[in-house]
Amino acid sequence: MSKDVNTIINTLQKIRPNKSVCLSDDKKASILKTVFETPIAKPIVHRHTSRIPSPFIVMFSRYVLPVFVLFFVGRVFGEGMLQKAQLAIGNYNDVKSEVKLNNSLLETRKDIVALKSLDTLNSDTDLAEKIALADKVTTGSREIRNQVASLVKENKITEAKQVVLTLETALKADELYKVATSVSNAVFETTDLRLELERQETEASVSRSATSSTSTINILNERLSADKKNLAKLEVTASTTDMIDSANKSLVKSEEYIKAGDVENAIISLQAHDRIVAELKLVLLP
Amino acid sequence: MKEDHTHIEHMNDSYTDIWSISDTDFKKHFENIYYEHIDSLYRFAYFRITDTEKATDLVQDVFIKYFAYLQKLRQNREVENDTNVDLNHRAFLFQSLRNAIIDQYRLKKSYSLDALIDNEGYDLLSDEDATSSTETDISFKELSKHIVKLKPAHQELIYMRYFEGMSVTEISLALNERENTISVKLHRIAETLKKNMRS
Repeated sequence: MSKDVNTIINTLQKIRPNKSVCLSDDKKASILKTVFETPIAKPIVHRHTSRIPSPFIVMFSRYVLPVFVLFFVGRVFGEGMLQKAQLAIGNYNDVKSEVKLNNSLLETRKDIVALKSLDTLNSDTDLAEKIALADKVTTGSREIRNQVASLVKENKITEAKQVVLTLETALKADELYKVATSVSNAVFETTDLRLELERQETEASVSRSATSSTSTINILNERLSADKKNLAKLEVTASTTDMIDSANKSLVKSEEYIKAGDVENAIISLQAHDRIVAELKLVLLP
Repeated sequence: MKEDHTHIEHMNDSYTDIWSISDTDFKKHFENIYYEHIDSLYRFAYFRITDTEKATDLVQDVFIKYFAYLQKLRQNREVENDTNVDLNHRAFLFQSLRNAIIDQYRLKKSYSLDALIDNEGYDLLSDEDATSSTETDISFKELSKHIVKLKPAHQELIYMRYFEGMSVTEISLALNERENTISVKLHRIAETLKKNMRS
């Protein structure tokens, strides 16, 4: 069935509506009445009671802000945790090194006691054993000094000084330095270390009180008077006067420096005096 | 409701100049417009939603809005002393009704032109024409079968142009499209119908 476009258009143009799909006259009249009676509506102005946030703010607060907050909270919390962990590790290391140090001291003391007991026997057959023990004592004291050096690195000078003092006392006891040359060397080295530590300690206390020169000078004066008293005691018992004279000279110099306000040289002079006194004490040991 | 009436105002219309008449005369004039277009508007609404009640309500709303619009326009013209505006009521009303239907029902389903045809809302112009159509072997029923198979937008065009007898200009104003576009579309629809009827 072939149809021409124009024929179709012609047919379409002939189509007209009839009255079957229409409103009744009454209905039309009622609608018109409603139209005339309806008042003109005023345009509705939409006023938002609350301001609607922009999409940028919504997206920012939903996705970016929580990331920043998490980052900030994480950082603060993480830093706190890190500090705690570092403290815990530090404490653990401290305890560990302390235990190790104490063990070393204990071992060295045992060796010293063994060495002394051998010496009192005064037997030639034990010479080899004596040498071995002396070496052991020397090695032990060297180990302790090394550990003390690590304490100094951690700026624990007072603790280090206490350890060295203990070692020194143990080594000097009962003329032990006369047993073997190596032991006497160890004694000298330990004394040197103690003096160095004392110097550092004094410097630290001076630097702490550097803000007030009066307080520094007071400390030095106190130390000077204490040293004078000690020297006076030594003068009574000493058989040699040379070392006491030089110690006295150092004290006088130190006093002069203190009077002049030269704190640094005063400390150096006091340290020189300390060294002389330490040597003197070693000589004066019975 | 979408209402783009700006260019409709510049259409030439054969109706009375509504700007210079009194309120009573304006009401009479509006009554004429109302009775002239209510049937076609109602059929258009019924054709789109196949519900008499809803179609009546929509048509009433459209006339209420149009009356208010014209009154407002009259007041503004008085203030501005500019009465050189003509209106194409038919195009305006169809556009308003079409937008109202879209806004209210968001129509997705197919148009029910078949319902209109089944209700015998349309027939051929005269017996003489009916005879001629028989000669060319095209009956209204047969053609309508193919029309209801077209796209909804094409059905709407066919409805406006041939069933309601709107001019291409009026359709272009009502649908917010260029006249040329409407003409081309109508021609293509006729070709599609021809193809469909051949097959």
